[in-house]
Amino acid sequence: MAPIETICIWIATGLYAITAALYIYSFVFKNEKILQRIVYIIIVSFLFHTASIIARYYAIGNLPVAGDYETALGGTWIIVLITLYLSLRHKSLKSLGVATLPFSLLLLGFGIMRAPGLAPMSASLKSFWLYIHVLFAQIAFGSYTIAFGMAIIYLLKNKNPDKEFYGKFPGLPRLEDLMFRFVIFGFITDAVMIASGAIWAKDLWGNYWSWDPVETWSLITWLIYGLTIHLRVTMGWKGRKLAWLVVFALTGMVITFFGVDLFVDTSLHLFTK
Amino acid sequence: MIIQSVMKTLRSLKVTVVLIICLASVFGLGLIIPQKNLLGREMYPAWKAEKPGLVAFLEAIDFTEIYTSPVTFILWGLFFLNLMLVMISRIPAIWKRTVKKDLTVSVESIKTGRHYEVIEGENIDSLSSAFARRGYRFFSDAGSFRAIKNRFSPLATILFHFSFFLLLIGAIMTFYTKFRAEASVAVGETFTGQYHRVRPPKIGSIPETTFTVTAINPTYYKKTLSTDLKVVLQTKKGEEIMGINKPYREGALSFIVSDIDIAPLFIIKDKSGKEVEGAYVKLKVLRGEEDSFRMLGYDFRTIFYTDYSDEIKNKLEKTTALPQILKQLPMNRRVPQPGEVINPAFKILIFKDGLFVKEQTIKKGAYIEFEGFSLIFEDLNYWATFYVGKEHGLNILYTGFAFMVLALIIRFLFYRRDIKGVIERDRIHIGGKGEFYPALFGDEFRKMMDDLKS
Repeated sequence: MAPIETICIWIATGLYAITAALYIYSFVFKNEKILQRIVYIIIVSFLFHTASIIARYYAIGNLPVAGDYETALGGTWIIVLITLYLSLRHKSLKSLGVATLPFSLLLLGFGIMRAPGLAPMSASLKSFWLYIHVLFAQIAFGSYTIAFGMAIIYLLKNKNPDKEFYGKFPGLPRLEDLMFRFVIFGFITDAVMIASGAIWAKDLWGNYWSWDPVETWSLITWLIYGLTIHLRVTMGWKGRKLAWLVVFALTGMVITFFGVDLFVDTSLHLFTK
Repeated sequence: MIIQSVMKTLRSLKVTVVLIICLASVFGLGLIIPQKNLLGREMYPAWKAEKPGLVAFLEAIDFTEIYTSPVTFILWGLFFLNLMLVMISRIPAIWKRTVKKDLTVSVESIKTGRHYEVIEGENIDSLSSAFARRGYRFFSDAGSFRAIKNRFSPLATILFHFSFFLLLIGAIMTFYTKFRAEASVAVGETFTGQYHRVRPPKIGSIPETTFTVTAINPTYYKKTLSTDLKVVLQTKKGEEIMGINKPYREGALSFIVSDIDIAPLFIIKDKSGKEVEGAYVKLKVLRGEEDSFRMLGYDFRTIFYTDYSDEIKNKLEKTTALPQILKQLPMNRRVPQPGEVINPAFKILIFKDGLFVKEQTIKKGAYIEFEGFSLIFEDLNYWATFYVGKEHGLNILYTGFAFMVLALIIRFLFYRRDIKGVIERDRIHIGGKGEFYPALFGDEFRKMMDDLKS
């Protein structure tokens, strides 16, 4: 990492850790005052996060889009951006970060631990399709994570219907719709990610689909979310069942992004050649 | 009767759910069970030797090539059959719902809906323009009206299902016309169809082409990370520059650089200095692997150093003290080294009929003397391995992807909102419903009604 980047990302991570802790505290002790103010800490940490991305861009000469660290850097940036936008636009959604912030913190921590050295982009990654593929992957990941956050709030509110603390959150039907809308948005951008990846793979590896572990996991994840949509639209799944499905479905996305490379060394997505 | 029952089951939406779960599970199994084409030519036999019983069983049910196994094909077949039957049964209903604008509305039916309001003091013309401003198409009849936003959005369901059939057609076409091969061409060499590892197409013939590789220029960052690669070809169309992510194409035929390595020029001269044999030898040694070549009845085993330094030299001198017997064993070594060729040198072990003759490390321009001959390391070029592919149907496949995304956007982001109203003297009863997000539509509906009231 570049020196400025190191300082910025560690400050951002520290602030995210404080934010996550405050979210958990406010939920455990039903402290609404804290919940209303956390958003200001997120703004500051987000600015440092953005600064670290800019510093990295200047250090390596291209947008950080490759490898576990850069994936975590960009992916969590989008998650926090959407969380921040929703928290500022809708007062009732200030609690969204209770699920998305601790999750982002874990991802960012994992990324930082994966030896983020400074190096220019390798030849195999120099393609216009990389930006389309990664951008849509991160938007999909961000959307699915926000849906996950909505599902967590839905489940908490559903479990405590009479508690005053949850009274200021959106109503359950509204939460369910918002959750579903982010699943839909994630599903569409996920489809663009898979399609753009296939087109790029044809130019880079010679085959649009190779059943590579990352490709296969992304297809499985897409199918799981497709199933979630199908179950709601055609079979009327809603409420807790749907929320639990959305919580479970994120596992597929996390494995696609970070899990496969940890367990296999045969994936083309390692870009070792 | 039985056929009807089977058809009814096959077009059920529950079957769709089961099939999606089965397909996802099969794909998941492919990640757990080592796959022949993914494991590589060396690892797969090693796994097979280690667990012969298990591998034999998995091979018998084709689970070591699970993605093309009969089980997977049956599941795909059922999936597309289900998709087709669902489409056939749902198209008339979708079409009817989309095209027909039923204006027979009663106050009772509106009141029972989820979203309902009564407004006063409005006339049909002002309502028409108010809804039009919000993107609704307005239809009215004597005493009732209907305002629909994104009226044709449900038709995207048909487009979505249709896109899967385009994907299927594209995939079948690529499967049957797929040609794959490799080609190894050194700088200065002309390719005229010398493919290896050929997988001919099931339909069609092996494509023919010719070109000459005139230059291969890799670029490295800190000697190790490959940041660019330019391969210059002289083709029928003139000079073409290809590289990573930039294949050379001739119609549907494409050449992709999958690897590069070095091709040194070795010349053998006799005592009188007369050249007796010489050639550019394609070796796979750039990453520190051992490779060998044969000339004049001698076997030359080589290890290549991209940046030969004194440190390496000292290490090598120590190994020359190895007992003779060790020198007959395979070296089987891989020396991690930078990819950028800066100060090239070869460590060469010479054998005759399996017996060790001589070992020496030589830089470019130097030579080894052995049994009355000298082997000169005269020049160094690169050679490239091309992954060659040709298939038809890719455009259909990509169109399928595009239609799928487009259908999803139309269906779920531009979803249909349907508002019905009945005029009762000076009061208007208005009810509405939106697809997919009823609560969010409720917010939209209330806001709209508030605007109308004000």
